[in-house]
Amino acid sequence: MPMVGLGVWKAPADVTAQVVYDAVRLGYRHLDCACDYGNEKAVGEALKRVFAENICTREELWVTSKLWNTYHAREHVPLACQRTLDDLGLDYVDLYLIHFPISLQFVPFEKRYPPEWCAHVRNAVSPRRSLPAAGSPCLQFALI
Amino acid sequence: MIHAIANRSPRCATARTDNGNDGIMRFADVPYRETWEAMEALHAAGKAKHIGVSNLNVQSVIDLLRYAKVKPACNQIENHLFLQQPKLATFCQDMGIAVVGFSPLGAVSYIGMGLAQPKEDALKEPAVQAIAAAKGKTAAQVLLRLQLQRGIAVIPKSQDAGRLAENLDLGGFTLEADEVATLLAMDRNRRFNDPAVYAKGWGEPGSWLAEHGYPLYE
Repeated sequence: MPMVGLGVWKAPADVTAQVVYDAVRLGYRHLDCACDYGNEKAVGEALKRVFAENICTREELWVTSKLWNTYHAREHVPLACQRTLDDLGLDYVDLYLIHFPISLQFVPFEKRYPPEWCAHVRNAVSPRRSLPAAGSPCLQFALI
Repeated sequence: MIHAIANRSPRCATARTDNGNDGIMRFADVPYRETWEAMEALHAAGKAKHIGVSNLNVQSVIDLLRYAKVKPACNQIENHLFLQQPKLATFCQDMGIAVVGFSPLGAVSYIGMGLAQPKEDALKEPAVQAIAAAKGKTAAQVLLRLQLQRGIAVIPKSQDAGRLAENLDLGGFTLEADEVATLLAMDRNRRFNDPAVYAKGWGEPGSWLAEHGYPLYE
């Protein structure tokens, strides 16, 4: 992993493609992305251009992305990763991180993407994962 | 049952907005281990060459290492002049887990969000500027170089071509031991990206979350 990367947190989606393209042309080979930053499609546009213009190869680039809090359940992790890969236009990421050790209720892609922290389906409780049993250690937080 | 009470609160009923963001954070009861095992499956499938974690403290890393079949390659944590987390960083590195420091320039990204004060800007610290002047470098380069010399990777953000180039150009100079010592001594254990602060706004009125936020790092 290159020790200096470009972080794209808070980079507005409309300028991200140009910033990422400029950065890679300047020599950046490490991009730090995340579903939650809301600009992975723009990063993907930049990468497409970078590869088309032979500025660097996929293998020369280190791309990190992160699993958002609403996709922690076993069945949602691969869906979230694939959505990120599709947006970035990549077959793989070099590093995929669990963004926060905070698990939030699932939000379907079609409802809101990225869902951020507070866009949960009202009254939705996963059928597989209903209320924690009384006395569960996570009760306090689960019920906030 | 208490979920239901929370979901019936007046705030939920009225604060819901068109974009689906109702302003309330709701937890799910997914154990971290389940998520990690799904990450391991992504690794096995070749979708992620490496897998890792972010925002974990030492205890959480220790727990993860007890069951991980694929060791976490990285722990990405907030790290800058005023939040150096030396014990956490060294622990991860000793365990063979790379440390990536986010917000390596400190408060600049947070001042506009109301999560840091302008006076907390490490780029404006006289000691940092003095070292920068002595080296013929910028304050940003000094702050980033400090992290590299601690073995911590950096991911600064910029939209300015000049700053992008500057942030990448960290070779060709070394902070001397006394300069490093000066900078390390400036640690304030000051966290800017802290759900204990910003998650207060996402609790149901009167809830524990609204009162205390989510003190993840305690």
